[in-house]
Amino acid sequence: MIYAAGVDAGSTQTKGIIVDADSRIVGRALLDTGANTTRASERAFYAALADAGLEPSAVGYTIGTGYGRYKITFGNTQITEITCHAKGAHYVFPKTCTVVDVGGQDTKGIRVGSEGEVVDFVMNDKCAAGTGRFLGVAAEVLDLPLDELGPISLESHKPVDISSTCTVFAETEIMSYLAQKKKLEDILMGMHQAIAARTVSLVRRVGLNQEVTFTGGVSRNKGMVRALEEALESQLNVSDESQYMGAIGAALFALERALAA
Amino acid sequence: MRPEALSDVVKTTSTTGVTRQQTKAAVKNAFADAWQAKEKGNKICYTYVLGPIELLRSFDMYLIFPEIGAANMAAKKTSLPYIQKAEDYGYASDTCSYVTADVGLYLSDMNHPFGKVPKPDLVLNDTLCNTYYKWSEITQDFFSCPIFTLDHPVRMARKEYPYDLEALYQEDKRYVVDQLKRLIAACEELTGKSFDLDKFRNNLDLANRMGALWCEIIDKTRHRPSPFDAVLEGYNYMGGATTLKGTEAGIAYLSAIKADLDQRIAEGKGAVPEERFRLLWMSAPCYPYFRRIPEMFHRSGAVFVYTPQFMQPTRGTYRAQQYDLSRPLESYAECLMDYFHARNPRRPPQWSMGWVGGGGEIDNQIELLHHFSADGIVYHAIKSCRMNSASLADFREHVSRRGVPILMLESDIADPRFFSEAQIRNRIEAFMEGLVEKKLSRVAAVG
Repeated sequence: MIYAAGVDAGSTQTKGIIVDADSRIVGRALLDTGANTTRASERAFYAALADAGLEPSAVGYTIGTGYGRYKITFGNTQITEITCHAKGAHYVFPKTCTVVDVGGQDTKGIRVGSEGEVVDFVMNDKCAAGTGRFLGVAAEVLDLPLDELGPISLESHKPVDISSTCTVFAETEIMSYLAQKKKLEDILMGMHQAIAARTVSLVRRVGLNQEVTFTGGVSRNKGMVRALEEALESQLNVSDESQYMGAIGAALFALERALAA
Repeated sequence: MRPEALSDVVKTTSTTGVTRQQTKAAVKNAFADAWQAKEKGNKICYTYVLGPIELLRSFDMYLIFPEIGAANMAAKKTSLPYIQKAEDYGYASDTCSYVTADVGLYLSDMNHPFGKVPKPDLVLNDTLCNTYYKWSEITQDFFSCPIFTLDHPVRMARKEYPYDLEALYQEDKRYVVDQLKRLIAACEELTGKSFDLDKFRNNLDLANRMGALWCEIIDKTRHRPSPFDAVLEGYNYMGGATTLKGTEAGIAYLSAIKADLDQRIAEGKGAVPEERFRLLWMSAPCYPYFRRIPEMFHRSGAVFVYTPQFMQPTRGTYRAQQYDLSRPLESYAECLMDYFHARNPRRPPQWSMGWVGGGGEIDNQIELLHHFSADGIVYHAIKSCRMNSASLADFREHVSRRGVPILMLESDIADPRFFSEAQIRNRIEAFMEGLVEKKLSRVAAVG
């Protein structure tokens, strides 16, 4: 039985996925990238193997993706996360036509074809406002764990208006709302809406065609899912696998090459 | 392929022999020649790339092109200190970096990496670009030289517009001819020489011959493999073609390029070791990383086969403008207007960047794609130039809707701070992955 692996070395987190010859996910791992991408990638790979109960020799082909893909020195080759996310999203949601990927510092809009191939893509340039980094900054300012931002925001009834286009300056805005004794949930939903607005405006450039699949670390945030669904006026495909989609795509490409060999 | 392996990649071949040496020498000696001309009593004129070069040369004026000076600074990776000097002086960073690099030069006692630059006796701007007006005023501020503005009317064309385009064209032509006469008078006063119509005609004839050669050259990328890369080599050819317009040296230069290319075609030598994809490039290059961006494409076997900026040496249409030597001033006016006037007598095809409106710009780009057998289009938005960049987002969307693979990149012409290697590389690689995938599925469908 042949296995294939995908490792996605993102700016914030590194993900590993092992698939079997039938394209079933048999192992996975997720950890913080930290300062040493190579080490994080190795650890993710071995952790995914352990999760699958496999030895490294069982893996026939490994593909590295993500910004740190060239640091995945043990891989066979590299494919961009754009191509891998499209493939991964298509695997989890076969009717995907648009991928919205919001990560730690990147937002991507991808138009996906019927085979999971990339037809067109757009990414944020020069500015990381409206990406996961914004939520990270907010969590710091509000002294909350990152994974509590979403659930709290869902309690909101009167979201505030965050007008700063700069993530760093938005921190000042949040602090001023706190001083005005605005409710925490309203501040948080305001932030989620600000991110959703920027995201939608970016993705519109490749067209927002159904079905829309939301991927990337930020897709775990239920507040973000709601804000984005409201901004899009439509349902989103979201999965627990969302943050693994890059690694899944990489693993599937690796499997194609392993089987072809 | 890892970036560390870049040195393993065969350096893409470019035009060898005479042309390369000629180009290098021409660029290096440009300012030395200017001083020599000045010593002979000739006037120095700063002008821009679509200025009335042939007319100015008939007064033996030595022409210096600030845009090309700035581009060369950037290509030599020396532009940043000049730009920063201008910013310290007060210029905003979103000012065109050609301008700030040039102002930095003025603030550096005219010391350019290629030598000291003589000050202008005249600066001539034209209405290709609205930044030119302020730029020449800045030059005038520094050097107290006169400015002449050549205004070629821009006429958009839409069926709904309630005016008689033909009548307006004739009126506009009279206006431009009148300006040329005023320019001649101004040059006579400045140089103390009378206008020599025969000399002007001769320059036009040389420009005609250069234009014909240029059109032959740019069409050679239709060969497979393409003998040169439109960005990597093409912009060098174009720099020479522009600065030498209307001269014997220009004919020699283009003839040498043509001969080089014909030889490469005969030998089956391509610009990239293994040509797999052919692409169009829209808008100016990123000069501080001039080789880097095309080479990122070359690694995947992609070569650039055309950029609409190649119209520059023939000032407007794809098919060479030929000046009518029997009515030189009028014909000159027509050619000056061609670039901007919807009622272009040489249409179709007007393979412009679509600035004159009237619709059909998207069709033009698709036509270009077919003419050069290109697989996709790369749009390069530059921070310095809204004129170049503003339409690109729309083109991108509409062309993409027609099923053409497109890639949007953002950086700048002369300011290295606007180029982010990791981001650019990522986008190029993703785009090339898409092209490879498309090709594989086409092969699978056929096979």
